[in-house]
Amino acid sequence: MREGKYPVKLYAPGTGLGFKLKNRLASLKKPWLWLLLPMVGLLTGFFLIPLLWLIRMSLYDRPASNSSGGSRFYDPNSFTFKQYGDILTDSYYFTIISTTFLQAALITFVVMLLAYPCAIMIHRFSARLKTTALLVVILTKLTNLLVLTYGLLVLLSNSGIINSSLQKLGLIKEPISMFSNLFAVVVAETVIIAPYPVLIIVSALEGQDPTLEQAARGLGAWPLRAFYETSFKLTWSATLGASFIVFNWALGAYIGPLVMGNPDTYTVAVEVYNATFSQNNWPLGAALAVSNILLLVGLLITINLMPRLLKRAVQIGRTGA
Amino acid sequence: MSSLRGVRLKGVTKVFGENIGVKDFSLDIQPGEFLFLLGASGAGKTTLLRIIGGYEQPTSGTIEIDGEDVTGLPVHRRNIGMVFQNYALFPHLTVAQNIAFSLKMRQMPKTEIAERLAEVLELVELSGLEKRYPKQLSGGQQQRVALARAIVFRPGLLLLDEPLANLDRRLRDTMRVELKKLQKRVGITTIMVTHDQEESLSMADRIALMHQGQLEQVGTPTEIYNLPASPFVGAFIGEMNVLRGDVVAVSANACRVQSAGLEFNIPPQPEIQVGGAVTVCLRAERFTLSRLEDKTPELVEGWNSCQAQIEFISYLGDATLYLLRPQAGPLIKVLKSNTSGQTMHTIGENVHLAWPMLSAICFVNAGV
Repeated sequence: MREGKYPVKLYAPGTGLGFKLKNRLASLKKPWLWLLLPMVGLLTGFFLIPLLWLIRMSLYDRPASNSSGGSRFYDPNSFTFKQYGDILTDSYYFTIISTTFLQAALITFVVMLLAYPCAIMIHRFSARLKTTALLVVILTKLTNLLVLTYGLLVLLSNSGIINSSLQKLGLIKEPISMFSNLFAVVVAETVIIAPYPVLIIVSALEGQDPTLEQAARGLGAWPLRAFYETSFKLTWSATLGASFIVFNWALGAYIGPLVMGNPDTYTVAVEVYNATFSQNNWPLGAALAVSNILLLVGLLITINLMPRLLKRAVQIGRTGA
Repeated sequence: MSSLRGVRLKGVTKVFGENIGVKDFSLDIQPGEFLFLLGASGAGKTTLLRIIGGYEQPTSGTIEIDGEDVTGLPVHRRNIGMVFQNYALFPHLTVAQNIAFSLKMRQMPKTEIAERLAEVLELVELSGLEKRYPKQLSGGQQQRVALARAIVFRPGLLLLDEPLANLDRRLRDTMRVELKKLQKRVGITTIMVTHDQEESLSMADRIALMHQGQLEQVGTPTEIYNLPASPFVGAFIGEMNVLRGDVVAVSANACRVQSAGLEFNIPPQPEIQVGGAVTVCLRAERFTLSRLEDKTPELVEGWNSCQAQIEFISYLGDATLYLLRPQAGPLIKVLKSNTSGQTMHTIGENVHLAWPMLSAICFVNAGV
C-alpha cells in the first residue's frame, strides 16, 4: 500500500532512480500490462537495437579509404577505442560538446522563462480563451520544422521585416545582425521547443485544486506568495520534468544551429552529421553520439542524486561527523 | 485586537452577467453570534459568504466588520478564517504545517507558533497527528484540521462553507455538537452556510434564510420554525402543507377557507376578508389520525376535521409520514411520531383527519 505517503508523489515517475524491483515483477501479472507491448516492441526494434549497433560501431575504425565500395561503415577487423581517444584528446571536440551543453542550458533557461509565465496565464484564462490559447500554442507545431526555421531566417535577416521596418522608421541606419549567430539559434530553438513545456505546465496547473490558492490568501498570504506556496510548489516536479525535456531537446538541436547559426554554434548533432556524411567517418559520428548520450545520462544522474547528496552533507555537517 | 466583532452587511448585491447571485442583502450579525445562511443550492449563500471573505467583490453594497468598511480590502488583509467545503488542505504540508501556515505568513516567532499550535491542536483534539499529511487523515480529522487552520490566527470572523457536507451521517451528528461547543468556547463570530435545515435548526443562534439571492427571513430557529414570514420559509423548513384557498366566510372567532373543495377554519386576522385569497401553512406533525370505526372523539371547538384516504406511507424510524387524500381537496402530508401503543394504518384505509385551527399559519395573497 503506497497510499498515504504523499511526498513520494512529489517526484515525477522516472526521475527517481531507485525503485522496488520486486514490485515491478509482481505487476507483470497484471493483464493490462500487455498494452505496453507494441511500444516496447517499437522501441526495441527501432531504438534499443540501433543504439547497441551504434555503440558497437563506435568501437571500430573507419574502413581504409582505398577499400572498394562505400557500402561498409566500418572496418570489422579494427576493434579500437581510437574514436573515444580522439574525442577526449582533441580540444575541437571538447569545444563542440561544451558548446552543445552550454547552448542547451541557455535555451532551456530562455524557454522556461517564457513558457512558465505563459502557462500560468493560460491556466487563468476563461475556458473558451484557454482553448484558443492552447490551440495557438499547438499551431506552431503544425508547421514544418524546416519551413519554420527558414521563415525565422527571413524574418531576422539583414533585409528581413524587422531590420527593414526599423530602417524605414529611421531608428537604425545599418541593419542589426540577427542571424548566423547565437541569438538566432536561441530564437529558433525557443520557437521550436517552447510549446512542450507550456502544455506540460498548463496541464499540471489544471490538475491543482483552485481553492488551495484561495485558502492560502485567506490565511494571510499576498497573491504571489499564495501562488508560490501552493500551485508553484505542487507543480514543481512537473516544471522540473518539463525543463529536462527542454534541455534534452535543446541538446539534440540540429536545424537551429545549422540554419540559423555559424560554426561557433554547431552542436554535436551537426558534428555527427559532418563526421558521417562529409568525412565519411561513421565510427567517429557514432562515438560522438554515444559520448553525448553518456554525458546527458551522467548529468541526469548527478542532478537526481544532488538533493540526496546535499541532504546527507547537511546531516553530516550538523552532527559534526 | 478584540476577538469579538460584529458584522454589518449593507445592500450587498452580486451580479454575474445577467444572473443575480445576491440581491440587496442587508443584515447585522452580533459579536460572538453563530449565524447560519440557509437556502437551497443556487440561493446565493456561498456567493455571499465568499463576498464577506473577500474572495469575490460585490457589485454594490458594503461589508463592515467591527465598524470598519472592509469591502475593498483584499482577502489576505481581512483577517477572516474560512473553512472551505472541500477543506482545501495543502496536500504537500503536514497537519502542523497546514495549521501554522497563517502564523508563518504573519512572521510569528517559532516559539509562539509552537505554543499556538499545541493550543489549537488540543482544542480540536488532534494532538499527536501533527506530522501526518492530509491524505493520511479521515474526513472528520481533515475537517478539524481545516477548522484549526481557520481559527489559529485568531480571526475576527469565521466563515464555514458547508463544512459537514462531506461527512457521513453519524460523524456529521457528532461534529454538529462539537462545532457548536467549539464556537461557543472560542467565542468567535461565525457564519456558516448550509442547505441542511436540520443542521441549522440544531446549531444556529440565528438563521438567515435565503431564496434567489435575497434574504427571506432572519430569526432564531424557533422563530423560523414557528413563525415563518412567508409560505416559502414555512415550506423550506420541516414538513409543511401549503394550501391555497379562498375565504368563504368570516366571523369573530374564525374565517372559513375553501381550498380545492376542502373547507376548514383558520384563526381570524384583520386583513382577511370574504372573497380574498389566502395561503395556509399547516405543519405535518400537527395533525391527528384516527380510524373511522373508532368512536370519533368529541372534537374540541377550534379543531378542523375531515375524512381522508391514506395514499402512501413512508416509515422513517422515529416517525411515519402519511400522504392523505381528503374526499375533496389537495393531498395532505401528516407526520406521526412512532410510539409503542399507536394505531397502525394501512395504505387505502379511510381515516379521520383532524387539526387545531390555531396551528394554521396564514398569509393573505397580495395582488395575486
